[in-house]
Amino acid sequence: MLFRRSLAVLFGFLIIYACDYDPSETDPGRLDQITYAPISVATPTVPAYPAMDIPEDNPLTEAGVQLGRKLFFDPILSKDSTQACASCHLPDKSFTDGLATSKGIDGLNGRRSAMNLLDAGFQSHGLFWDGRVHTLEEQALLPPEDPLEMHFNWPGIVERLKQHRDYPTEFRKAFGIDHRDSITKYLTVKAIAQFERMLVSSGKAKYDLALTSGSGVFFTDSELRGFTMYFDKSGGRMPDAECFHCHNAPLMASNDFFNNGIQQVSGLNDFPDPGRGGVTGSLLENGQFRAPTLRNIVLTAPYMHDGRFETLEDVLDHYNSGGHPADNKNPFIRQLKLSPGQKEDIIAFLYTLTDSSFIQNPALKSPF
Amino acid sequence: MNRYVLFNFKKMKYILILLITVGFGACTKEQDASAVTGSVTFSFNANYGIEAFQPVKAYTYGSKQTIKFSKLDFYITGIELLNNTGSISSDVAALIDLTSSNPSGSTITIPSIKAGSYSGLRFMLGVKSDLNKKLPKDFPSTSALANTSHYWEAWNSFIFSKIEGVFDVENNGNFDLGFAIHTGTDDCLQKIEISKSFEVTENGNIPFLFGMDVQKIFFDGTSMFDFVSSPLNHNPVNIEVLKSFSARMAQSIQLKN
Repeated sequence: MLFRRSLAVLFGFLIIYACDYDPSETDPGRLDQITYAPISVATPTVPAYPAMDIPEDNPLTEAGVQLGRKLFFDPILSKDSTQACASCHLPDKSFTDGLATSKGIDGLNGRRSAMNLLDAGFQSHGLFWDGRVHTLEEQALLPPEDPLEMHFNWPGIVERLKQHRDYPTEFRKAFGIDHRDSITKYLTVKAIAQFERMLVSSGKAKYDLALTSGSGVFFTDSELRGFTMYFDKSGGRMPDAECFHCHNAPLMASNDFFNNGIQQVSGLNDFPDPGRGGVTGSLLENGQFRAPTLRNIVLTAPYMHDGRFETLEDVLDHYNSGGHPADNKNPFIRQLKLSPGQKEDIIAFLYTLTDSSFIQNPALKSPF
Repeated sequence: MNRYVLFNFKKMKYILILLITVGFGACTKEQDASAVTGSVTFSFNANYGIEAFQPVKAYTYGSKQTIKFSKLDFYITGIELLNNTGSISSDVAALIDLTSSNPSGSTITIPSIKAGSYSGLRFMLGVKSDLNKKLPKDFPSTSALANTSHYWEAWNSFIFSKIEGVFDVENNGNFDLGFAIHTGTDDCLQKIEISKSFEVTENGNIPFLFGMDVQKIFFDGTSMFDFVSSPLNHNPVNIEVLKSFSARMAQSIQLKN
């Protein structure tokens, strides 16, 4: 009888305990006890620039930008944890790496030169040298799995992030996830894209200030001559250097893709790197590449998609020569007949596109 | 109990009659005419004389030279559909690219056109004046006019059209002369007006197929344009040349259906 009573009492306690027990309280992956209170970040703007598109499903928030910044500089995305995005996109070099083509974790050379990320958020007609993706989110998906770059895989990356001491909390603050198992590759690239959208011109390059009335900043005579030839503003008094056709203001870039005559080929099928044509399958577009921004160009040597030119002087010599003929060569790549002094003037002007405030901005440097 | 049921049946009968009446009323109610819309589609293709136009295909130019095209694009703005009370305007602006690898680059669809009878259509080849006073940054990124590659500060104008390619001057297989014609400024704006009766019906689409004879752009009535003397034509000092190109480009466009 006593045994039966004891059993009944024990059973009663068990029922009470079971009713009160919430297994999630002891779940170490739970994040919902952490406050999720996202603070919006204003869309970056630069006078004279077009508006930046922000995807509706990835609004800028303080926590999102900070998480993206951390992920950008963290080698956790690479297989052997030795390379981060920032390994090939160094702030001091306007987010390039100073190499002709970047090296991946296995010491292999990439196919193309690391691109300048300044104003990447304003690019609305394709990213990479060949424009093969349309958004920064799509772009960030690719390098971690590229065998020539980070050579890892997204399931492995996501698992590392889930098990990390800090990242689950930061994903919670950025995206409001309730559990660390909700971390995904898509949230990871959203964060990186948010940070990359903050990589905008300060508007304080000498070029910008010289064109701002009342700034008290003026071009030197040489810079002004270079500016005039760059934009063909002399009315025929000076040579047209034809630069602006592909590197147009305000971004000093283009939405289009060009064959600028750097590659000698016997036909449009012979380009060693088909560039845009490799994406579209169009013969016409073989050998065509994006004309990247010339802002901070003095910081981003070597030049061209394959880094074949080490100096701006080499670049000017190429354009002055007219390049190699091809059926799709841009017609403005022609013998320019610029004198040595005129080439110096154009280079002096290119120096005015240097945005020191951008590369010195502590908010864009490594948080580690 | 039975009387109660009978009473409710009678009541329900009146409600049913009322509902049917209202239902018929709703069905016969005239629809808001302005809400009845269809669409119109403009498609463009090109030929070079009697040959189909293709990028980087070689065409005879004049009597003994050869030409290949790498770019042929132009803006269409100010689209209007003409009817007996005037016209209906569309704010659609499009950059028609006849060298694009994307087939949609040569098609414009104008939605939400009021159903009814129309007698013709009108549009501008180029960027109409009020829009041309703006800058690419003034347009949303989805607009064809947000394209900074088609704006030239030296002109304070959008580049209305680009024709580019290479030229074999000696007809010896060496296409070593690049050429370009870029038009712009209000001086180069061309109006195209087509008389054609058509009926826009609810959710219907009226397709218009336009053909451009590219060869005609270079023929001034007596001879083909001399690219050897003037391969690059984009500067305001060449405005008279660019105006004549613009006019011939407009004349080269014909409705084909």
